[in-house]
Amino acid sequence: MDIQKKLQRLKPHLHRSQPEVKVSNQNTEPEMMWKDMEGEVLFFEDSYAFRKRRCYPLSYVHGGHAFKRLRTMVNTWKEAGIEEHPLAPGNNIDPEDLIFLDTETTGLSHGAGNMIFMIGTAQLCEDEMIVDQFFLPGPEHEIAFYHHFLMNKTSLHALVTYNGKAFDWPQLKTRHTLLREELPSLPAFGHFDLLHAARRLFKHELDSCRLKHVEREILGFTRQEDTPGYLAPMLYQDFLTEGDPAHVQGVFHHNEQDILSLITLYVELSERMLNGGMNAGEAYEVARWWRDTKHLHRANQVYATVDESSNYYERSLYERARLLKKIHHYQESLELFKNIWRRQGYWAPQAAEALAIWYEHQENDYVRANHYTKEGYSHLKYQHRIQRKNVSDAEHQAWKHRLQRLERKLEN
Amino acid sequence: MNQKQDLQSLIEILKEDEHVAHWYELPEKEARYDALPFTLSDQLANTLEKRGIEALYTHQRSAYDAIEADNNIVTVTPTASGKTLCYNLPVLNAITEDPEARAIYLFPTKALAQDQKNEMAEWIESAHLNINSYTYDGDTAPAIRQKIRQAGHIVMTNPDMLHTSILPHHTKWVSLFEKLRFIVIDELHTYRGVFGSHVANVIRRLLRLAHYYGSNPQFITTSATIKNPKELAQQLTGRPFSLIDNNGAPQGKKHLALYNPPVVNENLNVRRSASKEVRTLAKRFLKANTQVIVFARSRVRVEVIYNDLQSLTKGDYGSSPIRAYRGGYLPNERRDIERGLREGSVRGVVSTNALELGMDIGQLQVCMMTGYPGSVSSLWQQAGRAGRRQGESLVIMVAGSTPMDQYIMKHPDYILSSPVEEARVEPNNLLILMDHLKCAAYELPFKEEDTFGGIEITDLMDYLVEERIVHKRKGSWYWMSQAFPAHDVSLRSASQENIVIIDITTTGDTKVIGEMDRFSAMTLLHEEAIYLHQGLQYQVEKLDWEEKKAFVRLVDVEYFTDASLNVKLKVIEQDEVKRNKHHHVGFGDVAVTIMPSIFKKMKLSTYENIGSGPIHLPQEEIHTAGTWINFEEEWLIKFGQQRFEQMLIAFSQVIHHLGAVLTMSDRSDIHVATQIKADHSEMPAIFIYDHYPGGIGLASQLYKRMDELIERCQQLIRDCPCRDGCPSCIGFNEQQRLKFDVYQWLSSLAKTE
Repeated sequence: MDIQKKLQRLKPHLHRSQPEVKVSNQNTEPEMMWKDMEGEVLFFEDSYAFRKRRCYPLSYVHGGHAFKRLRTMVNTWKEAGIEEHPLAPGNNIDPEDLIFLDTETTGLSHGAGNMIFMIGTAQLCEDEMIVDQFFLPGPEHEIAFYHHFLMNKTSLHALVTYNGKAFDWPQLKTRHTLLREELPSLPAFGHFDLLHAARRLFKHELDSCRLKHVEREILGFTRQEDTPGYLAPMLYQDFLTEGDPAHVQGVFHHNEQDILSLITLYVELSERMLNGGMNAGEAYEVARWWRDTKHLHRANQVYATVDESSNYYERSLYERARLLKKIHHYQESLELFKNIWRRQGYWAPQAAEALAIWYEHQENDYVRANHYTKEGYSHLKYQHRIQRKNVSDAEHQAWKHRLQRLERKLEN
Repeated sequence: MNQKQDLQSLIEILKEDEHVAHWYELPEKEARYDALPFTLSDQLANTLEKRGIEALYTHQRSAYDAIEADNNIVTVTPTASGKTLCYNLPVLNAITEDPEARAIYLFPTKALAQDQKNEMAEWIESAHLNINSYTYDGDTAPAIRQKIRQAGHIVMTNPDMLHTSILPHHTKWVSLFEKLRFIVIDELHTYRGVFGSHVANVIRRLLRLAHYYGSNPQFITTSATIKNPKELAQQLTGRPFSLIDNNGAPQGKKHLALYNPPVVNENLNVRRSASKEVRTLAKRFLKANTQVIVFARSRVRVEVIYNDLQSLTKGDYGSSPIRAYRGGYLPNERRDIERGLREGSVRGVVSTNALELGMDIGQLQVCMMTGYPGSVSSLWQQAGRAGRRQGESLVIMVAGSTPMDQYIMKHPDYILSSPVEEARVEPNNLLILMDHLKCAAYELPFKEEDTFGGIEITDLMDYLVEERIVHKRKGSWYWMSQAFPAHDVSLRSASQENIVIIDITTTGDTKVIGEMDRFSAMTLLHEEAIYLHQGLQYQVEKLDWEEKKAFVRLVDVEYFTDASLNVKLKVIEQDEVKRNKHHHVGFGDVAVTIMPSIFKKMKLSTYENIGSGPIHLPQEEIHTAGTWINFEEEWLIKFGQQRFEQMLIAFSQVIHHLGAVLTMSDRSDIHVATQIKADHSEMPAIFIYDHYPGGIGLASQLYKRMDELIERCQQLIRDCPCRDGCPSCIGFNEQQRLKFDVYQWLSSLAKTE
């Protein structure tokens, strides 16, 4: 079969072609090619990687925090004695161990055909913040690229990323699997995902937790002359076809900005976490996160700071009442539930239910239990009717059950 | 009342029925056994014995031995002959010996994989084997996917899942690919035409990855009865195969009745409808308390027959003794019906061919088919639903009025002698090949010396470089695009985007009711066309050609529409030619240009032309493979131009029908055209071409079998009882003796070998 001929004939049925692009001169010596960019050409066997390194003094301020704050922050976590928290470095991790990492890839799909062409990292080193960007000069250079990256970063147990658990790390694993015969093995992976943290704290405040958005709304700065991330794959293609590093200069800059923001964001998130948030909504979320990570006393303290005039006040009261019960501060808890019930707000039926449970099972006071059940249920039905609150059949059943049981108990 | 007696007497009564065109008895067959192989692990041998299996059927043993001898096999044995053991036994045995060994099972549908998983689970449990077998499909929970990837010995999936999920993410499946021992492909015959050609390429990709990870899997496949199972297996996988067909399963006596409904209109040769006859017959058997399965070709027919049977038998036996079964029902509904059939609580089921594939429903006593199911392999698979290992069973095929149905009534040998229908794939169709080359390049870079399924790839890769999809560096082509190519390639539909049909009858509740390929849409979905969907009439209000949408509204009118197309057909290259005395047959590349011109409104009752209008659509061009017959001018002179033109058209109708049947394809997969003076030869010609850019092997197959095709057409016309043509042969026409002339003409063509 004459494939070329068939190809010509069938072209209209194949996908449309893009304009032709002149093909690069691939014979240029690596050193020549990269002479206008600061950085090193790192050879390994018959391939090479390009590494750009920049060192920042710790007094350097990016997005409102100087890098030296990172050290303070890590120490604050340790002094507070907190280990079990997704942002807490724990006892075994020093500020110098944290590796802030962000990759640029040829696409967003997760499969074997998607390549990482840049890995940027930042790491504290004595009195400097060192930013290393490893760059893949062509798909045939992956071995040198990963070799040098892995030689440089021998430990990856304290990565700080933005969505790295779902994206960067699986990608890295995929590429490593393909080259596993030729590379050192991948070190154990440990991870702080700032996207996860940002979502927890800011989901009510921000429409989107994209890094750019968080920079603007939380860190309070806007990037100047940034190359948008979604252009990176196209720019890389242009670089490959034309062989001119100028095409990816913007990507280097963008990637570096991302990494620097990760440092600042880590400091900022830690600060808000440890100081209880910047506003009522955040305080509520901070408290919830403490609660979910089993730091109940901290959670209790932060719930207590939620401002009375805010929308979060009543639900914070409710959460706190439940917490106090859990840590056996029964009287305080009871007082809070009563307080909520008196307010006759959204959480009143739940408070009534909690009170009913208490009186029925702890004090055998069926009269009061019955009173709260009746009142609570009628308030719930009122909410359902007037405020269109969703009440499930199961909830109705539970209330009715309780009522019947209490009436039986009262009769006896 | 004795039930067996009843079936027996009903069989005797039916035998005497004047409408039974033919009656065959397939004799009882004793089981033939071979000993259990001594290489079988004790654990498995014990389990077999526990299940009452002390020896294997001959074909099971042959399959086992062939696998041991490192052959790839295709087993062809009837339904319910213990086919699954042919692959389960060697696979389980191999994994027992080497717990690292892995197997992929491919089933054409999710439901079949589920069914097999359950059977496999029973096996594993009763043999106390430490083997993990899972289904992996769109419904698999993300939580257990990880486990399947790492520890699944047997992964049961479908080609689509392999294509979009497993292959592109192969780095997550390292333990599967590194030790891939077996690829099991069940229901091999379903992989034909465009779908099969895609699957052949998916298998090329699978083998390429297996090779990359250092494994060299063996194929174990099963197929229904077709003419070329071994060849199909080889085409699909690119490997040599051994055929296992020494069926040793026992079979009770089986009766096959070919039933031709009575003619109700002599002139038009119209017979009573097959569905009506089936209902009457089915009722008779249901009353006798026998278990009956009725097959019908469309979902609508299933529903109609089902409703009717249900009302006929209402209150006769327990609750819901009769059920309908088709695609589109929920899985648990279907499982429920299958169980009911096995346990006997469901007395009758009306089904589409969905029940033809291997779902376990036990063995029923009576099977009825509403019309020829489209292929001999389908027919036998459906017939296999009736037939116990002991006792008698009955299969009735009630003929419809299509040419093929009537042909079979006259030529029962077509189904009884060795199979004539071939399943074909064309893995090297350039469009399909290109799609999968992209996917393969995504999965692993290609090196200069690489081939893909034996094809040189340099030209193709250079094309992809031009398209900026791959990037060539140091003798390798690397994927360099943001796209995820597998998402753009659907295995089950043609490459051109289809037109979606949207019902706008109810404002606020518009819904998609179907889709249609572009070429068919030109004649069936042009504006003002009456489009028939499940027996309802819709009028096309707007056809948005750019956006590929047709908006239709429910109507009730007394006419249908008939569009004329201007078809221009050009032979671009003649690859092969066979010369005969009065005609010659060619094969090669053709370019077809299609331009709709006008449509007519025809009254339903009288076929009277009651109006017409223009069709405004751009012309379409397709390059594909075609075969053609050029006729010597002598025919023109003998019959006169006008007459001969009508004869060409008449012949083309029959050839279209039989051509689709012989190639096991849908009538819309191949198209025919006639030219009284063809551009390439200046002779009268009939063209048959693949309705898919680049061709998928149908025309090439028909080219090779043209003599047979012509002969079968001639027989069909000869044996049709109508006088001057009917829809069952050359079509209605008002020409005197046209049918006779066509027959004479074809006879002299057939004689001149």
